Amino acid sequence: MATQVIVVEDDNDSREILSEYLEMKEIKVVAKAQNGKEAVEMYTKFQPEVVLLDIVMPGYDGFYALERIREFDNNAKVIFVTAATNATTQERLFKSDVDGIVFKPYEMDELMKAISIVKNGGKSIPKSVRSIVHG
Amino acid sequence: MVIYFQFSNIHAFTISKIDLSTLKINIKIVSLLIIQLSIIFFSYQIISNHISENINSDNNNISSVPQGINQVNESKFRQIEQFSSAYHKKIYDSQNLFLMFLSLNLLSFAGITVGIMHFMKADTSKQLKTEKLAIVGTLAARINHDLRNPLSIIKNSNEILKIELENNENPKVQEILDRMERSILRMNHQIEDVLNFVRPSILEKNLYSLCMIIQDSIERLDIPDEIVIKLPTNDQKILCDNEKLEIVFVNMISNAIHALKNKGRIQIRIDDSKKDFVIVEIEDDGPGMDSVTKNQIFDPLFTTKSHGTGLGLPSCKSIIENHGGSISVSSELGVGTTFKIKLPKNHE
Repeated sequence: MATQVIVVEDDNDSREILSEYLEMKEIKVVAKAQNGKEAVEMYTKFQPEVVLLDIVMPGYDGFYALERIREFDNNAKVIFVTAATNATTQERLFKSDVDGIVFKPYEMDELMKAISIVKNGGKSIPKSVRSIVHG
Repeated sequence: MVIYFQFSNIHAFTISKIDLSTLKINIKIVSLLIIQLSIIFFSYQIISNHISENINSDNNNISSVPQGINQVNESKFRQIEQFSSAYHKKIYDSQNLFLMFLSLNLLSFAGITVGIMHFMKADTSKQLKTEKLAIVGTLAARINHDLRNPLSIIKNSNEILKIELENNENPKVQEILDRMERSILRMNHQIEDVLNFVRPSILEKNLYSLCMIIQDSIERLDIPDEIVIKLPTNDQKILCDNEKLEIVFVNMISNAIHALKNKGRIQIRIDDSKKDFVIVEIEDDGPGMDSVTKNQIFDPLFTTKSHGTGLGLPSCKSIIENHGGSISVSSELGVGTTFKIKLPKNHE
Protein backbone atom coordinates (compact mmCIF):
# COMPACT_ATOMS: atom_id res chain seq x y z
CA MET A 1 0.00 0.00 0.00
CA ALA A 2 1.28 3.49 -0.90
CA THR A 3 2.66 5.66 1.90
CA GLN A 4 0.19 8.40 2.83
CA VAL A 5 1.54 11.89 3.47
CA ILE A 6 0.39 15.46 4.05
CA VAL A 7 2.39 18.25 2.38
CA VAL A 8 2.47 21.49 4.40
CA GLU A 9 4.08 24.41 2.52
CA ASP A 10 2.98 28.03 2.12
CA ASP A 11 4.76 28.55 -1.22
CA ASN A 12 2.38 27.38 -3.96
CA ASP A 13 5.05 26.29 -6.41
CA SER A 14 7.02 24.41 -3.74
CA ARG A 15 3.90 22.65 -2.54
CA GLU A 16 2.77 21.64 -6.04
CA ILE A 17 6.15 20.48 -7.32
CA LEU A 18 6.73 18.38 -4.21
CA SER A 19 3.26 16.85 -4.42
CA GLU A 20 3.76 16.08 -8.10
CA TYR A 21 7.06 14.35 -7.48
CA LEU A 22 5.70 12.30 -4.58
CA GLU A 23 2.82 11.11 -6.74
CA MET A 24 5.33 10.09 -9.42
CA LYS A 25 7.09 8.01 -6.80
CA GLU A 26 3.80 6.40 -5.82
CA ILE A 27 3.42 8.19 -2.53
CA LYS A 28 -0.15 9.30 -1.91
CA VAL A 29 -0.59 12.95 -0.99
CA VAL A 30 -3.84 12.77 1.02
CA ALA A 31 -3.94 16.50 1.81
CA LYS A 32 -2.08 19.80 1.33
CA ALA A 33 -1.91 22.70 3.77
CA GLN A 34 -0.55 26.26 3.62
CA ASN A 35 0.15 27.02 7.27
CA GLY A 36 0.53 25.42 10.68
CA LYS A 37 -3.12 25.71 11.65
CA GLU A 38 -4.31 24.00 8.47
CA ALA A 39 -1.65 21.34 8.98
CA VAL A 40 -3.13 20.43 12.37
CA GLU A 41 -6.66 20.33 10.89
CA MET A 42 -5.53 18.09 8.02
CA TYR A 43 -3.67 15.78 10.38
CA THR A 44 -6.62 15.30 12.71
CA LYS A 45 -8.82 14.60 9.67
CA PHE A 46 -6.59 12.23 7.68
CA GLN A 47 -3.96 10.96 10.15
CA PRO A 48 -1.32 10.24 7.49
CA GLU A 49 1.75 8.11 8.01
CA VAL A 50 4.15 11.01 7.50
CA VAL A 51 3.81 14.82 7.55
CA LEU A 52 6.16 16.88 5.37
CA LEU A 53 6.21 20.21 7.18
CA ASP A 54 7.70 23.55 6.20
CA ILE A 55 8.85 25.78 9.06
CA VAL A 56 8.60 29.42 7.98
CA MET A 57 4.93 30.01 7.18
CA PRO A 58 2.57 32.95 7.74
CA GLY A 59 0.56 32.87 10.95
CA TYR A 60 1.25 29.52 12.60
CA ASP A 61 4.66 28.12 11.74
CA GLY A 62 6.03 24.59 11.55
CA PHE A 63 7.09 24.45 15.20
CA TYR A 64 3.55 25.36 16.29
CA ALA A 65 2.12 22.67 14.01
CA LEU A 66 4.53 20.02 15.32
CA GLU A 67 3.56 20.79 18.91
CA ARG A 68 -0.18 20.61 18.23
CA ILE A 69 0.11 17.45 16.12
CA ARG A 70 2.12 15.76 18.88
CA GLU A 71 -0.54 16.77 21.42
CA PHE A 72 -3.12 15.02 19.25
CA ASP A 73 -0.91 12.03 18.42
CA ASN A 74 2.35 11.46 20.24
CA ASN A 75 3.41 8.91 17.61
CA ALA A 76 2.91 11.21 14.64
CA LYS A 77 5.82 11.03 12.19
CA VAL A 78 6.94 14.49 11.08
CA ILE A 79 9.70 15.59 8.71
CA PHE A 80 10.66 19.27 8.54
CA VAL A 81 11.40 20.30 4.94
CA THR A 82 12.96 23.73 5.23
CA ALA A 83 15.28 26.37 3.77
CA ALA A 84 15.83 27.99 7.17
CA THR A 85 19.37 26.97 8.17
CA ASN A 86 20.39 29.77 10.51
CA ALA A 87 21.85 28.87 13.91
CA THR A 88 18.69 29.84 15.85
CA THR A 89 16.47 27.62 13.71
CA GLN A 90 18.95 24.77 13.89
CA GLU A 91 18.96 25.02 17.68
CA ARG A 92 15.14 24.94 17.70
CA LEU A 93 15.18 22.04 15.24
CA PHE A 94 17.33 20.00 17.56
CA LYS A 95 15.16 20.74 20.58
CA SER A 96 11.93 20.07 18.72
CA ASP A 97 12.23 16.25 18.75
CA VAL A 98 11.13 16.08 15.11
CA ASP A 99 11.65 12.73 13.37
CA GLY A 100 13.37 13.99 10.24
CA ILE A 101 14.86 17.12 8.72
CA VAL A 102 15.56 17.79 5.04
CA PHE A 103 17.14 21.08 4.00
CA LYS A 104 16.25 22.77 0.75
CA PRO A 105 17.36 22.46 -1.96
CA TYR A 106 17.39 18.70 -1.51
CA GLU A 107 17.92 15.76 -3.79
CA MET A 108 14.65 13.92 -4.29
CA ASP A 109 16.38 10.68 -3.36
CA GLU A 110 17.38 12.30 -0.08
CA LEU A 111 13.76 13.13 0.70
CA MET A 112 12.55 9.67 -0.31
CA LYS A 113 15.15 8.09 1.95
CA ALA A 114 14.07 10.30 4.88
CA ILE A 115 10.40 9.36 4.36
CA SER A 116 11.28 5.67 4.31
CA ILE A 117 13.40 5.87 7.50
CA VAL A 118 10.87 7.96 9.44
CA LYS A 119 7.88 5.87 8.32
CA ASN A 120 9.60 2.84 9.83
CA GLY A 121 10.17 4.53 13.16
CA GLY A 122 13.70 5.82 12.61
CA LYS A 123 15.24 9.30 12.75
CA SER A 124 16.69 11.16 9.78
CA ILE A 125 18.56 14.17 11.18
CA PRO A 126 21.40 15.87 9.21
CA LYS A 127 24.84 16.05 10.81
CA SER A 128 24.80 19.86 11.09
CA VAL A 129 21.83 19.63 13.47
CA ARG A 130 23.11 16.54 15.30
CA SER A 131 26.43 18.25 15.90
CA ILE A 132 24.69 20.83 18.09
CA VAL A 133 24.69 18.03 20.69
CA HIS A 134 28.45 17.82 20.52
CA GLY A 135 29.05 21.57 20.02
CA MET B 1 46.97 79.12 27.45
CA VAL B 2 45.23 81.02 24.68
CA ILE B 3 47.37 79.26 22.11
CA TYR B 4 46.65 75.89 23.74
CA PHE B 5 42.91 76.46 23.54
CA GLN B 6 43.26 77.37 19.89
CA PHE B 7 45.09 74.12 19.26
CA SER B 8 42.32 72.24 21.07
CA ASN B 9 39.73 73.87 18.84
CA ILE B 10 41.64 72.82 15.74
CA HIS B 11 41.92 69.31 17.12
CA ALA B 12 38.23 69.15 17.98
CA PHE B 13 37.39 70.36 14.49
CA THR B 14 39.62 67.65 13.02
CA ILE B 15 37.97 64.99 15.15
CA SER B 16 34.49 66.19 14.23
CA LYS B 17 35.27 65.61 10.56
CA ILE B 18 35.20 61.94 11.32
CA ASP B 19 31.85 60.70 12.58
CA LEU B 20 32.32 60.39 16.33
CA SER B 21 29.23 58.27 16.71
CA THR B 22 30.88 55.42 14.89
CA LEU B 23 34.09 55.46 16.90
CA LYS B 24 34.77 53.48 20.01
CA ILE B 25 37.23 54.70 22.56
CA ASN B 26 40.60 53.77 21.16
CA ILE B 27 43.37 53.33 23.65
CA LYS B 28 46.03 54.44 21.16
CA ILE B 29 44.24 57.68 20.34
CA VAL B 30 43.61 58.44 24.01
CA SER B 31 47.26 57.70 24.81
CA LEU B 32 48.46 60.07 22.12
CA LEU B 33 46.16 62.81 23.34
CA ILE B 34 47.37 62.34 26.90
CA ILE B 35 51.00 62.52 25.72
CA GLN B 36 50.32 65.72 23.84
CA LEU B 37 48.49 67.34 26.74
CA SER B 38 51.35 66.35 29.02
CA ILE B 39 53.96 67.88 26.68
CA ILE B 40 52.04 71.12 26.52
CA PHE B 41 51.38 71.19 30.27
CA PHE B 42 54.93 70.39 31.36
CA SER B 43 56.59 72.69 28.89
CA TYR B 44 54.32 75.48 30.07
CA GLN B 45 55.27 74.69 33.66
CA ILE B 46 58.99 74.64 32.83
CA ILE B 47 58.87 77.96 31.02
CA SER B 48 56.78 79.58 33.74
CA ASN B 49 59.10 78.38 36.47
CA HIS B 50 62.16 79.52 34.53
CA ILE B 51 60.76 83.01 34.00
CA SER B 52 59.58 83.23 37.62
CA GLU B 53 62.98 82.18 38.98
CA ASN B 54 64.71 84.77 36.83
CA ILE B 55 62.32 87.52 37.85
CA ASN B 56 62.57 86.58 41.57
CA SER B 57 66.36 86.54 41.56
CA ASP B 58 66.40 89.84 39.76
CA ASN B 59 63.86 91.26 42.17
CA ASN B 60 66.37 90.61 44.95
CA ASN B 61 68.97 92.58 43.05
CA ILE B 62 66.57 95.41 42.49
CA SER B 63 65.81 95.66 46.19
CA SER B 64 69.55 96.23 46.90
CA VAL B 65 69.53 99.35 44.73
CA PRO B 66 69.37 102.37 47.02
CA GLN B 67 66.11 104.33 47.09
CA GLY B 68 65.75 108.06 46.48
CA ILE B 69 67.26 110.31 43.85
CA ASN B 70 69.65 112.10 46.23
CA GLN B 71 71.45 108.87 47.09
CA VAL B 72 71.90 107.71 43.51
CA ASN B 73 75.36 108.25 42.32
CA GLU B 74 76.87 107.45 39.02
CA SER B 75 78.04 103.94 39.87
CA LYS B 76 74.66 103.03 41.22
CA PHE B 77 73.06 104.42 38.11
CA ARG B 78 75.34 102.27 36.05
CA GLN B 79 74.38 99.30 38.19
CA ILE B 80 70.75 99.98 37.46
CA GLU B 81 71.53 100.34 33.79
CA GLN B 82 73.48 97.10 33.72
CA PHE B 83 70.84 95.40 35.75
CA SER B 84 68.12 96.69 33.44
CA SER B 85 69.94 95.46 30.37
CA ALA B 86 70.63 92.08 32.04
CA TYR B 87 67.02 91.92 33.06
CA HIS B 88 65.89 92.62 29.53
CA LYS B 89 68.39 90.10 28.25
CA LYS B 90 66.91 87.49 30.54
CA ILE B 91 63.42 88.38 29.40
CA TYR B 92 64.68 88.09 25.84
CA ASP B 93 66.29 84.70 26.61
CA SER B 94 63.09 83.53 28.29
CA GLN B 95 61.08 84.65 25.29
CA ASN B 96 63.44 82.69 23.03
CA LEU B 97 63.07 79.69 25.30
CA PHE B 98 59.31 80.08 25.22
CA LEU B 99 59.32 80.29 21.42
CA MET B 100 61.53 77.25 21.23
CA PHE B 101 59.17 75.25 23.42
CA LEU B 102 56.25 76.61 21.43
CA SER B 103 57.87 75.38 18.21
CA LEU B 104 58.48 71.98 19.79
CA ASN B 105 54.87 71.88 20.85
CA LEU B 106 53.72 72.77 17.38
CA LEU B 107 55.86 70.03 15.91
CA SER B 108 54.71 67.48 18.45
CA PHE B 109 51.12 68.56 17.90
CA ALA B 110 51.52 68.13 14.15
CA GLY B 111 53.14 64.73 14.59
CA ILE B 112 50.58 63.53 17.08
CA THR B 113 47.69 64.81 14.99
CA VAL B 114 49.02 62.89 11.99
CA GLY B 115 49.34 59.83 14.21
CA ILE B 116 45.82 60.25 15.56
CA MET B 117 44.43 60.76 12.06
CA HIS B 118 46.24 57.61 10.93
CA PHE B 119 44.85 55.55 13.80
CA MET B 120 41.38 57.03 13.38
CA LYS B 121 41.44 56.27 9.68
CA ALA B 122 42.59 52.71 10.34
CA ASP B 123 39.99 52.35 13.08
CA THR B 124 37.22 53.78 10.92
CA SER B 125 38.27 51.54 8.07
CA LYS B 126 38.37 48.52 10.40
CA GLN B 127 35.04 49.47 11.92
CA LEU B 128 33.46 49.90 8.49
CA LYS B 129 34.78 46.51 7.47
CA THR B 130 33.39 44.91 10.64
CA GLU B 131 30.03 46.60 10.06
CA LYS B 132 30.08 45.49 6.43
CA LEU B 133 30.66 41.91 7.49
CA ALA B 134 27.91 42.13 10.09
CA ILE B 135 25.53 43.33 7.38
CA VAL B 136 26.68 40.42 5.20
CA GLY B 137 25.77 38.07 8.02
CA THR B 138 22.29 39.52 8.47
CA LEU B 139 21.70 39.63 4.74
CA ALA B 140 23.00 36.10 4.33
CA ALA B 141 20.45 34.73 6.81
CA ARG B 142 17.62 36.49 4.97
CA ILE B 143 18.80 35.71 1.45
CA ASN B 144 19.54 32.12 2.40
CA HIS B 145 15.89 31.43 3.06
CA ASP B 146 14.55 33.53 0.18
CA LEU B 147 16.90 31.98 -2.37
CA ARG B 148 16.80 28.39 -1.26
CA ASN B 149 13.06 28.05 -1.72
CA PRO B 150 12.95 28.95 -5.42
CA LEU B 151 16.23 27.09 -5.93
CA SER B 152 14.59 24.00 -4.49
CA ILE B 153 11.66 24.41 -6.88
CA ILE B 154 13.96 24.70 -9.88
CA LYS B 155 15.97 21.70 -8.76
CA ASN B 156 12.92 19.53 -8.16
CA SER B 157 11.38 20.64 -11.47
CA ASN B 158 14.61 19.72 -13.21
CA GLU B 159 14.56 16.28 -11.64
CA ILE B 160 10.97 15.73 -12.73
CA LEU B 161 11.79 16.81 -16.26
CA LYS B 162 14.69 14.37 -16.35
CA ILE B 163 12.37 11.55 -15.43
CA GLU B 164 9.65 12.64 -17.86
CA LEU B 165 12.13 13.08 -20.71
CA GLU B 166 14.22 10.02 -19.92
CA ASN B 167 13.25 8.32 -23.13
CA ASN B 168 13.62 11.38 -25.30
CA GLU B 169 15.87 10.64 -28.25
CA ASN B 170 17.22 14.14 -28.59
CA PRO B 171 20.57 14.22 -26.70
CA LYS B 172 20.39 18.00 -26.52
CA VAL B 173 17.49 17.76 -24.07
CA GLN B 174 19.54 15.83 -21.51
CA GLU B 175 22.49 18.13 -22.09
CA ILE B 176 20.34 21.16 -21.27
CA LEU B 177 18.93 19.50 -18.17
CA ASP B 178 22.43 18.55 -17.01
CA ARG B 179 23.57 22.13 -17.55
CA MET B 180 20.65 23.37 -15.46
CA GLU B 181 21.55 20.94 -12.71
CA ARG B 182 25.17 22.17 -12.65
CA SER B 183 24.03 25.78 -12.45
CA ILE B 184 21.78 24.93 -9.53
CA LEU B 185 24.71 23.29 -7.78
CA ARG B 186 26.83 26.38 -8.43
CA MET B 187 24.19 28.66 -6.94
CA ASN B 188 23.82 26.41 -3.93
CA HIS B 189 27.59 26.37 -3.54
CA GLN B 190 27.69 30.18 -3.49
CA ILE B 191 25.00 30.27 -0.81
CA GLU B 192 26.90 27.67 1.19
CA ASP B 193 30.08 29.74 0.87
CA VAL B 194 28.37 32.70 2.47
CA LEU B 195 26.73 30.61 5.17
CA ASN B 196 29.95 28.78 6.00
CA PHE B 197 31.55 32.12 6.53
CA VAL B 198 28.85 33.70 8.73
CA ARG B 199 27.78 30.59 10.66
CA PRO B 200 29.86 29.41 13.60
CA SER B 201 31.53 26.21 12.52
CA ILE B 202 30.55 23.32 14.79
CA LEU B 203 32.74 20.33 14.05
CA GLU B 204 31.75 16.68 14.35
CA LYS B 205 35.09 14.89 14.41
CA ASN B 206 35.87 11.30 13.65
CA LEU B 207 38.86 9.44 12.23
CA TYR B 208 38.88 9.87 8.45
CA SER B 209 41.26 9.08 5.65
CA LEU B 210 42.56 12.25 3.98
CA CYS B 211 42.73 10.50 0.62
CA MET B 212 39.05 9.54 0.91
CA ILE B 213 38.09 13.13 1.71
CA ILE B 214 40.15 14.42 -1.23
CA GLN B 215 38.61 11.82 -3.54
CA ASP B 216 35.08 12.72 -2.40
CA SER B 217 35.86 16.39 -2.98
CA ILE B 218 37.01 15.71 -6.54
CA GLU B 219 33.84 13.75 -7.23
CA ARG B 220 31.77 16.76 -6.24
CA LEU B 221 33.44 18.82 -8.93
CA ASP B 222 33.06 18.89 -12.67
CA ILE B 223 36.70 18.42 -13.68
CA PRO B 224 37.50 19.69 -17.20
CA ASP B 225 39.08 17.12 -19.54
CA GLU B 226 42.33 19.05 -19.84
CA ILE B 227 42.94 19.23 -16.13
CA VAL B 228 45.17 16.52 -14.68
CA ILE B 229 45.00 15.95 -10.93
CA LYS B 230 47.86 14.00 -9.40
CA LEU B 231 46.66 12.42 -6.17
CA PRO B 232 48.80 11.73 -3.07
CA THR B 233 50.84 8.54 -3.09
CA ASN B 234 50.41 8.10 0.67
CA ASP B 235 47.52 8.45 3.05
CA GLN B 236 46.95 9.57 6.62
CA LYS B 237 43.97 9.23 8.92
CA ILE B 238 43.21 12.23 11.08
CA LEU B 239 40.56 13.26 13.56
CA CYS B 240 38.43 15.72 11.63
CA ASP B 241 35.03 16.75 10.36
CA ASN B 242 35.12 15.16 6.91
CA GLU B 243 32.25 17.23 5.50
CA LYS B 244 33.89 20.49 6.51
CA LEU B 245 37.27 19.43 5.09
CA GLU B 246 35.50 18.43 1.89
CA ILE B 247 34.31 22.04 1.61
CA VAL B 248 37.94 23.14 1.95
CA PHE B 249 39.28 20.82 -0.74
CA VAL B 250 36.40 21.53 -3.10
CA ASN B 251 37.18 25.25 -2.80
CA MET B 252 40.93 24.81 -3.22
CA ILE B 253 40.72 22.49 -6.22
CA SER B 254 38.00 24.62 -7.80
CA ASN B 255 40.21 27.72 -7.42
CA ALA B 256 43.15 25.86 -8.95
CA ILE B 257 41.04 24.82 -11.95
CA HIS B 258 39.93 28.42 -12.37
CA ALA B 259 43.52 29.70 -12.15
CA LEU B 260 44.61 27.15 -14.75
CA LYS B 261 41.79 28.27 -17.04
CA ASN B 262 40.61 24.65 -17.28
CA LYS B 263 43.93 23.38 -18.63
CA GLY B 264 46.92 22.25 -16.62
CA ARG B 265 48.13 20.19 -13.71
CA ILE B 266 47.14 20.08 -10.05
CA GLN B 267 49.25 18.10 -7.64
CA ILE B 268 48.05 17.10 -4.18
CA ARG B 269 50.64 15.84 -1.69
CA ILE B 270 50.44 14.58 1.88
CA ASP B 271 53.42 15.01 4.17
CA ASP B 272 52.90 12.86 7.27
CA SER B 273 56.51 12.84 8.43
CA LYS B 274 55.79 14.92 11.52
CA LYS B 275 54.52 13.32 14.70
CA ASP B 276 51.63 15.60 15.64
CA PHE B 277 50.43 17.09 12.40
CA VAL B 278 50.06 16.39 8.71
CA ILE B 279 50.58 18.81 5.82
CA VAL B 280 48.47 18.72 2.68
CA GLU B 281 49.83 20.69 -0.28
CA ILE B 282 47.74 21.66 -3.27
CA GLU B 283 49.95 22.91 -6.07
CA ASP B 284 49.03 24.17 -9.50
CA ASP B 285 51.25 25.24 -12.38
CA GLY B 286 49.06 28.19 -13.18
CA PRO B 287 50.01 31.86 -13.64
CA GLY B 288 50.72 32.43 -9.92
CA MET B 289 49.89 35.55 -7.91
CA ASP B 290 51.60 38.84 -7.24
CA SER B 291 52.44 39.75 -3.64
CA VAL B 292 49.51 42.18 -3.31
CA THR B 293 47.01 39.49 -4.26
CA LYS B 294 48.77 36.91 -2.12
CA ASN B 295 48.51 39.15 0.94
CA GLN B 296 44.78 39.66 0.50
CA ILE B 297 43.76 36.20 -0.63
CA PHE B 298 42.27 35.24 2.76
CA ASP B 299 40.54 38.58 3.31
CA PRO B 300 36.73 38.35 3.31
CA LEU B 301 35.04 39.70 0.18
CA PHE B 302 38.35 39.86 -1.75
CA THR B 303 38.17 38.12 -5.10
CA THR B 304 40.07 38.08 -8.37
CA LYS B 305 37.14 36.48 -10.20
CA SER B 306 34.42 38.27 -12.11
CA HIS B 307 31.87 36.27 -10.12
CA GLY B 308 31.77 34.84 -6.62
CA THR B 309 31.40 36.19 -3.12
CA GLY B 310 35.05 36.35 -2.10
CA LEU B 311 34.20 34.25 0.96
CA GLY B 312 35.44 30.84 -0.23
CA LEU B 313 39.03 31.06 1.00
CA PRO B 314 38.18 32.90 4.24
CA SER B 315 35.67 30.09 4.97
CA CYS B 316 38.38 27.49 4.29
CA LYS B 317 40.76 29.29 6.62
CA SER B 318 38.07 29.41 9.28
CA ILE B 319 37.37 25.67 8.97
CA ILE B 320 41.06 24.76 9.11
CA GLU B 321 41.70 27.00 12.11
CA ASN B 322 38.67 25.48 13.87
CA HIS B 323 40.43 22.14 13.45
CA GLY B 324 43.47 23.61 15.19
CA GLY B 325 45.38 23.87 11.92
CA SER B 326 46.69 26.61 9.67
CA ILE B 327 46.83 27.49 6.00
CA SER B 328 49.42 29.41 4.04
CA VAL B 329 50.12 30.17 0.42
CA SER B 330 53.27 30.52 -1.64
CA SER B 331 53.15 31.73 -5.19
CA GLU B 332 55.41 32.89 -7.98
CA LEU B 333 54.22 34.72 -11.06
CA GLY B 334 54.58 32.56 -14.12
CA VAL B 335 55.37 29.47 -12.07
CA GLY B 336 52.34 28.55 -9.98
CA THR B 337 50.74 28.54 -6.55
CA THR B 338 50.91 26.15 -3.61
CA PHE B 339 48.49 26.13 -0.71
CA LYS B 340 49.83 24.42 2.39
CA ILE B 341 47.29 23.12 4.89
CA LYS B 342 48.56 22.01 8.28
CA LEU B 343 46.21 19.82 10.31
CA PRO B 344 46.69 18.18 13.68
CA LYS B 345 46.53 14.39 13.63
CA ASN B 346 44.83 14.33 17.03
CA HIS B 347 44.93 10.58 17.25
CA GLU B 348 43.44 9.26 20.45
